[in-house]
Amino acid sequence: MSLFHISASRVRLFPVTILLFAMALPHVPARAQEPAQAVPHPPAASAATQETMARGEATGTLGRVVIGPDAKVVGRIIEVLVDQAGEPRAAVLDVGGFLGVGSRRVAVAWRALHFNPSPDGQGRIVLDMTANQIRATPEYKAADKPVTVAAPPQAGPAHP
Amino acid sequence: MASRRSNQGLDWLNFFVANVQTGFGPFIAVYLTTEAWTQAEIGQALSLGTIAVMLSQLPAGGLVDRLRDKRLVAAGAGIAVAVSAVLFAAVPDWPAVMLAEVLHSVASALLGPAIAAISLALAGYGGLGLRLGRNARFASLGNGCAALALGLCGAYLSSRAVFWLTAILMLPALFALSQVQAGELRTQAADLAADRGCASLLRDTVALLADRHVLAFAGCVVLFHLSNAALLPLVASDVTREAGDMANLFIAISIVLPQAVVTVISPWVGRAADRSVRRLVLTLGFAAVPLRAALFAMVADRPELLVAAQLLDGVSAAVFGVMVPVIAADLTRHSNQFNLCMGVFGLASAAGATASTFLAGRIADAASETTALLALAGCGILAALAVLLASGQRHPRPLPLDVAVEPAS
Repeated sequence: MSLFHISASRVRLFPVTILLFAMALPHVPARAQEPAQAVPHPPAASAATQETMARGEATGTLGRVVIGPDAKVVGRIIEVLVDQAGEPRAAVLDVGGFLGVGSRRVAVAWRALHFNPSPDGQGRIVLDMTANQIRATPEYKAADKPVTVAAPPQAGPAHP
Repeated sequence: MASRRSNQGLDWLNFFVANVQTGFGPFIAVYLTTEAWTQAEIGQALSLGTIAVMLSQLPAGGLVDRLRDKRLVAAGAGIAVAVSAVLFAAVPDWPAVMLAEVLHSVASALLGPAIAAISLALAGYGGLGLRLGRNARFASLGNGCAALALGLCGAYLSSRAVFWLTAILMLPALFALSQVQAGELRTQAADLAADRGCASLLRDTVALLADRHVLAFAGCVVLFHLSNAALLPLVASDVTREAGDMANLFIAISIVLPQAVVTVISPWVGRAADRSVRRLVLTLGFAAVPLRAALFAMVADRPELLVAAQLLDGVSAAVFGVMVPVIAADLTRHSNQFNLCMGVFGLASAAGATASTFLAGRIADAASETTALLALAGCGILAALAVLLASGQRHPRPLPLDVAVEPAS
């Protein structure tokens, strides 16, 4: 390829790059203005704004191991159940089983889960109950049936 | 008279192939979960595998009939299974897993008939029962050892390591295959079918299915799997719940115990297959299934019944595993369609097993687990009766051990 060929293609790109740059500039101040004004959305939706989660801030859920207070593995999260208001109420764990045989699905209360992210994004997920404690919970079938959620036992006055 | 070397090679081939196949069972769902696949995606991948298994049974059987070098087929299929394991371990995303599932299904459909065909070529019709009994013995040893080894690997190393180990185990399998000497394989059966070519596959399939003995026995196979396949999965989660900390031990016992039973009794079953007690043994083996279902219905209160139930599982697995290829060989002795017949029975097995887990799940959801178990027990009784009737019409008597089969030339 001749030098002329390379420089010609660069010249063609140049006005395009300037145009893109010009289009990008207005986005920067727009984000700062967002909370102050309510911009009516045009029928053709504008591009989504972008928020960031810092490194180490996010913890994935699906397929992640959940350990109990005794640091033993309880199971893996296979589903997150949210209520009508969009708040997570329970996580469904795949508990037990050997070589894939005999595992059960148990829904545990979201508030019993604690997410401790670490800088590499592979945070620990700790449940307030051990596998033994959630043993008696009926199995989770589907989201469209009544779901029994295992919750931590109430720490009240000791019963005789 | 095949040499000891060839027979031992076939023994260990069965052992290592069973090793490899153990990794591809329910464990795939566990592995994909660890790779953050959603349940829906996992279901789709497994369904694709099931469909691929069913679609490939008949063509694979026909293909093995027509290819002269059965050892080459077995080797190729074995390598494909190893490649599938490597795909699972190395690239667990959507397209690779789909490919791996299809590859594994097709390869398994080829591998089973290929090993049976090698067994037939090595032992002849007269000694087939004994040879298949040996196959079943080594296969169950392989299943049991692999269940322990892979289970421990999955628990203490990682899920991915299980598939790497599975792929590595194919190497000794191929070495064992190489010990089977080509010169000792009687090629009469292979030559007769190989002259047919692939275009006749459809015609041959129709002709085979038109044989009412084949159809009757295929029906028995469907009923057997319909009643048998869903039994352990139905109660496994109950066992895990009741056993608490010992759950893994209980499940491991449930998997290994039937394999141990098969190891012990399958040569005896093989000998029975060559004699007139075949019908009795077959019916008893089938009858073990409804008995097992009844035991499972009581296992929630008495976990020790699980042991008895899984012993029965071993009995029925040994009888089924040894008798089916022997009967297939008998039914196709004059048409030399042994592997196509194995394909038909394989399709029947897959269809029965799929229907079993589907229906049992539905009944358990709609009514209760006990109802599902009773339904399966009913199917099992039907299966035992069906096989009692069907085997009464068995035509060719087993030949004496020292008579070789010559092609009509």
